Order: sequence, then C-alpha cells, then structure tokens
Amino acid sequence: MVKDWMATAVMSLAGIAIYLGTSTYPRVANPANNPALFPRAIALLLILLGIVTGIDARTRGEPKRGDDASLWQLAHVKTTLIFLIMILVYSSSILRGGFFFLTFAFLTGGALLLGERPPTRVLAFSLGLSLGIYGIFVVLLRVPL
Amino acid sequence: MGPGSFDLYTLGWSLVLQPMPLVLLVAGVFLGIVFGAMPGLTANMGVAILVPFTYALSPTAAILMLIGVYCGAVYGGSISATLINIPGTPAALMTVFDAYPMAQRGEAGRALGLATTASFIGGLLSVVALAVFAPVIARTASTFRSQEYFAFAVLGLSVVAYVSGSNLVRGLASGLFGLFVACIGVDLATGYPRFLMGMPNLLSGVEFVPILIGLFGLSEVLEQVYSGSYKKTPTQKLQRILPSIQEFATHVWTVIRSAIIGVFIGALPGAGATIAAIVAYGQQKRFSKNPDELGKGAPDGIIAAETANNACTGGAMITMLSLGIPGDSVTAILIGALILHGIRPGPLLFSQEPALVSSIFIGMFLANCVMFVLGICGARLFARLISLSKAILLPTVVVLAAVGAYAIRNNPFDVGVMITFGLVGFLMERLSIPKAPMVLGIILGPLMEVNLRRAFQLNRGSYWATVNSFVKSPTALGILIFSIVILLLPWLQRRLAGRKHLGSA
Repeated sequence: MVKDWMATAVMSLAGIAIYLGTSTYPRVANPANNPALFPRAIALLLILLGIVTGIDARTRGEPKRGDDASLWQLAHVKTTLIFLIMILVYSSSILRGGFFFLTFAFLTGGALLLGERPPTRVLAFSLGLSLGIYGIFVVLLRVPL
Repeated sequence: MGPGSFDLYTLGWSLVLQPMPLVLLVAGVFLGIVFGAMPGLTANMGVAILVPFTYALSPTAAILMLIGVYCGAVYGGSISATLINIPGTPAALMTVFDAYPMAQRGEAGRALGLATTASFIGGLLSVVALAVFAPVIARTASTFRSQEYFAFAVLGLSVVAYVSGSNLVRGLASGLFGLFVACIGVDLATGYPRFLMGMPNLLSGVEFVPILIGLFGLSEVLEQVYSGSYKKTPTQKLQRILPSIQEFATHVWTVIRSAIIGVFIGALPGAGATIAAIVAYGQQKRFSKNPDELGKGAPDGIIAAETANNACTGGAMITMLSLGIPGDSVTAILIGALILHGIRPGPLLFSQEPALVSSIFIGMFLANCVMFVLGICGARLFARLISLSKAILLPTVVVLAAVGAYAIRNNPFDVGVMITFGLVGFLMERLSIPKAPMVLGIILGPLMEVNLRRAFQLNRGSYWATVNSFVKSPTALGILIFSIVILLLPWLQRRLAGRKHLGSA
C-alpha cells in the first residue's frame, strides 16, 4: 500500500515535472519540429499511469499486516547509509586523494562494514584487489587517475 | 555485398581467430560464468561493468568479449541454482526446481552436467537460427519506413512491460522514464537543448554506460546491502559431471522444442531468457510422460529450462543485429557498447560492416563451445567461487563501477551520473518498479522520437495524415494492434478469470 502510494507520487510528480520542464520551449505549429512533442506525451502518460496506480491502491484498500515489510527493512538501514556515504566520499575524491590508497581504504572499510573477518584476510584481499584494479585501469588502459 | 550472402559466414574467421580476440572471448565467458554463478551478480551487471574494459579494444574484440560474458552469464546462473538453490540469474529460475533436488540426492555433478550440455546445445542451435534468420530479417527491415520502426519500438516497450513483473503499469512507467532520459540533451531535429537542468555536460545527452553501471551495478549492490542478502552460502561437493550421450539422446525432443521456444521468445523485442525458461518448462510439463516428476529432480526439467534460456541469447541477437532493437536488457547494453565503438546495429550493419556481423556469428558459436569446456572442466572451481565472500565482492563492484564510469570520457560527471542512476535503481527496486524497461526505453527513445517526427514531417505536420499513414502500413498497424493486445492482456485475463469464478459460483 505504502509502495503503491509512493509509486503514484513518483510517477505523477515526474510527469508534472517533465511537462513543466517543456513550458519554456518554443511554440511550433508543425509537430515534426516541436521539441516538446515527445516529452509532453511521456509526461501525460506518466501522470495517467500514476493516477491508475493510485486508483488501484485505493480499490485494494488497507494492506494486510507485513505487506509493506519489504519496503521498510530497518535492520540494514544503518549499514546501507554508512556504505552509501563511503561510496559518495570515495567517488568524489578518487581524483584528488590518490586512487590506489583510496581504493585500498574503501575496499578494506567496505568489507569490514559488511562483516568480513578476520581483518588480516580483509587487508590481504583489499591490497591484492587494489593492485589488480590499479594495474588494469591506470597501467594497462591508461585512465588518468 | 548484400546481406544474406555467404561472406557473412566466412569473413569473420580471420578477425576472430587471432590471439587477442580469442583470449578476450575466453576471458569474457569465464567472467560471465562467474557473474552468472554468483547470486546477486547478474548478466546485466557483468556486461555493464565490463563495457569500460573494452574502450581500448577494436570493436570486434570488444563485442567478442561482451558476447562471451553474455553467453557465460546466462549459463552460469545454473551453477548456483544447482548447488545452493538460488538462481544466479533470473534466467535460471526454473532450473532450481529440478537441479537442486537432484543435487540433494547426491547427484550435483549429474545436474550440472545436464545443465551445461543443455545450455551448450541450446546456445549452438540459437547461433544457427541467428545466422540463418538475422540476414533475412535485415533484408526485410531495410524496406521499413518510419511507421514500422516506431511500431517496433512500441512493441518492444509493451513486451518488456508485460513480462517484467506482475505490475504492468509500473513496467510501462519504467519504460517512460527511460524514454524521458533519452530526451535529455540537444534535440537532434531542431538543435534546441532539453532538460539540461543547468548542467552543460548534458548537452550531448546522458552517457548510456554510466546509467547502466548505476542501474545494474551500484543499485544491486545497495539492494543486497539493504536486504542483508550478502551472507555466505554453503555449497555442495561435485562428482562426475559430463553426462552420457545415451542420457541426453532420450531427451532430444525436449531439446529441440525448448530451443525453438528460446529462440522465438528471445527474438521478441523486450522478452528475455527468464520468460523463455518459464514457457519451455511449462511446455515440458505439458508434453512430459511423467509430469509429476518435474520439480522433484527430473532431468528433462533441467534440460528444458537451460536449453531455452541459452537459446534465447541467439534469438535476442537476431532482433538486435537486424533491427537495432534489443531483444532483452543485456542486448540493450550490447547496443550501447557498439554505439560507444561507433557502430549502430540495424539492417544497414549487414551491408556496411559484414566482417563485424560475421565475427559476431562466429563469436557466438565459439563462446558456446568455450562455455561448454569451461563448464565441464571448471565446475569445481566455479562451485568454490560461489562461496567467495560477498562482503569483499560488493565493495569491489562499487570500485569497478566508479572507475568504469569515469574511464568512458575521463569525466567525473559520469561518476555522478552512475551514482544518481544507482540511487534511482535502488528506489525503483524498493517501489517494485522493474529496471529493464527503463534501459530499453533509453535505447528505443531516439528510435521512437526520430521516426515519429519523421512520419509527421513526411505528412507535412498533419496529425490526421500521420495517423492515416500508420493505418495504411499493414506491418505498422499489425504491430501496434499486437502491442495494444499485449498491454490489455492482464486486464482481459482478470475479466475472464472473474467470469469463470462467477460461473462456477
């Protein structure tokens, strides 16, 4: 039920946003030269599908206990959020902080966060993988990292 | 040289039988099997993550490697299905029902042997179908006009929305999101910039590969961390793997029937290996002399599912090569990889790049042979790889995703695109919105828009005349009606079930 309402909101809001996004486009009589034609059709269809999802959710009524359990699995939220922050920090700093060192740190931190033990094994794997990735991308493919 | 000439079967040998392409093909199959065998690492993820590795390669070597990954991954799913009761890829969904019970009886080696041989034969038969039908369809497609192309694109989205889950509306919405993403950037017809959101990097559109890496790489990693499904799974010991010829000979009709189903469903734009396996398994239940045995470790259940899902690979390539329309989400990624190398699949490919088309035919054939050899000889290794810790693998996938996205144009913006679409994919997963239609939407978007506007152009901007031009084309009209029927099918099924229920009451 919550999923349905959220899906309704996402579809409808996306549709409205896309439609509004085309409001400044030049007005053209010939649809072949109208840059807004296709996006507007997409927007209207998205709004329509959002409404259909909403009506469907309303018709089905209240959910049974546990129906929305898959949406709200709080047990792993903390781990996911920490992992996501690590991903953001890693991705935004690989060009500034030294690719090899950051990759090694990310792999070690990520594996430990996800419960891999013992730390010596994690360190060995991370070192090997970092060397491998560095070798392939920086040395072999000459990616400027 | 026109499409269909004998050169299409010979030109590629000299390109493929070189040390580098062959090594890449074998490496691709190996990596594909690893990606397929590990639950959570899918064929989509494998191909998407490995696309950046192909930048420095020639188009032929790149496509050979990715074809190897594709064929290997579809087969690889059966390994974890057999050994740990989890389909490594969605395509191995039906394999679980018989392979795991057989493994539990202490016949894990036999189950894997049957799956490997069935995958090999299914794959080979699909290559034959690809080599025979793709040039013919390409020749027919070269006469298609805007109306037919637009109709095919609509069909692709309808089918993928229909098959991508229980909720058709969400599937369609996902396809529409994809169409929208394809609109971002400068409008090709008028030069007008659309949906740039203040970011000049979007002028040339959103790079396809970072989107794929985000949707299938990062989002699946986040999903696994969120659901806690990255814990270790114990595996089983293997004995004799290669099945006897006698054992396989008794199931020859199962193989042929399932291969035909696989090729046909694979060739349908938007449908994929999972559907092929489900349909083939259902048909096996219908035709089997002992239908009650299916689901309890029956060899014909494994053979039907595995032949069909691997036969799908060649089928999907038929549509991809001859029409430029992806047969499934992996071929959508392959189209992206080809475009990256300056090659656009479609009917013209057969006359403009016959050597490449020929290499693809030969590469598919060799990939299936390599898959068979690796599957039989390396089964014990893959069984050990399944038990590798996901806690180490998942951060590695993130690193490959970030570096791969950056390496496309050496542009940090693409890393941002990858992360954004990773989060979008994660949200979609949480809201039960399938991701495959979105990928197809992105690929089909330009095809749909350009052809729709071209149809308007040819009819001097008149809505009525344009609609009339669609009605006057039997192919376009037929495909559009078929698409509408597909979209109405769930509603019709519900109505019929309701009537039946009322009748029985």
